[in-house]
Amino acid sequence: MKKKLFLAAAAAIGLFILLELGGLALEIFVYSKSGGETLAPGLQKKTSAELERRNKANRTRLRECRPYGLYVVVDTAANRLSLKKGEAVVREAVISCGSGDVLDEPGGTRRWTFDTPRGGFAVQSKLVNPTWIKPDWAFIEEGEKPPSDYNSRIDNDSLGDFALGFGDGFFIHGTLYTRLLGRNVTHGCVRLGDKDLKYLFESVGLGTRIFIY
Amino acid sequence: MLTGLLLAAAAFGSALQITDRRVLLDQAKLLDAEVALAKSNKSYLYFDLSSNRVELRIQGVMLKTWDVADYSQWGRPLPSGSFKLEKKEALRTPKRKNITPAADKNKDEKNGGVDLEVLELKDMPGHFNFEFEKGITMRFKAVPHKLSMRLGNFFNSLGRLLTLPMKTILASLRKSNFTDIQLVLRNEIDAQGLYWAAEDGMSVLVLRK
Repeated sequence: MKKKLFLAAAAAIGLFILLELGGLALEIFVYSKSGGETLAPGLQKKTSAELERRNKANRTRLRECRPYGLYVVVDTAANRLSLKKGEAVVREAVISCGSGDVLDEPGGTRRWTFDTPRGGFAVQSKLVNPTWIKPDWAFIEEGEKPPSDYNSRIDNDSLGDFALGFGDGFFIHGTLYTRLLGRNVTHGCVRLGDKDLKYLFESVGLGTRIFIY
Repeated sequence: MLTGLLLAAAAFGSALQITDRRVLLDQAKLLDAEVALAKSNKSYLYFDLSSNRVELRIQGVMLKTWDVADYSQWGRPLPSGSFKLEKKEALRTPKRKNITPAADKNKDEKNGGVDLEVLELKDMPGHFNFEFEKGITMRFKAVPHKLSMRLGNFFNSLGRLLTLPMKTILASLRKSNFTDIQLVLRNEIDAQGLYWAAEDGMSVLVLRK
């Protein structure tokens, strides 16, 4: 019995080593047959000194793409907003970002996905005591028919004291639901606590870049 | 003796020059690609395999970094360059919740944040793949901290050990490219964060080891 077990274990180890060696041999074979990588012919012909000059120029171009002065970084996964200057963090705040939920219009064709948009944006508007003009989804979500009367869409309470617009109806604004800061609960906008919102509003100007990921 | 030493020194110097040139060419290729990407409003991932680091960047600004604890590769070596992330795949992909009008009315805001049915970081998988063009796959997992994770990783490694040689043979026979890279991140939250940050169609820059 012991001998059989020993033989089985030895066979398993032997198989394992064989597979490993076979795999290694295959990798070497495939690598030798790969014929190397393809490079842009323009790059291949350049001398090392030319390459160094080209790389230096490209690094400068890359630096020029970066924002000067303050910029805003929004981490939608951690629900954190950072106001930064270069590498330094000037202020950090707990926020609420999009819930990722989906709303289908009953009997209709429209669909809304409540994600906070990602990418590079800029502050396009700065509003004091902002008014929210409730879009159709705000009514549909509550089981109501969107009103045709404009005045019925006006909401003066939900957005807090300030709002920073960054395009397509998305804002960084205040909230009545401060206990939900740190959670993904919004319809796509970025909600901020009162003190942080005031600081951000006073610090950034129109055109300040906002990076959301 | 002296001639031998001189020859060895010359060979060493030549090898260093080749390595330097390879590094310069890699940098040139990546900088060309990054300058083009940095002009857009889209973020991109930068896999710096020489420093065991993954970075999320936009317009040349580094937004987030993940450390790579371990790295292994099968098949044809991955060259430095720019790739398109075709698809991110996971065994358990997070599902979006469909809102039922009225039934969910302000539920999230009234219940004090308990049992919110929303999509958050904790819902993301910690074990997933990135599929690229040209038969390139990157697999991600986290350093196991729990017994269940250790067991999962063991069976995963066993599966890879058995299937990867077959895949290499098949790819050789079909004369198609096959590259399988495994990256182990420091913890599950890092892995979930990377899954969250990555989007289908995203550009990815790779600096090889």
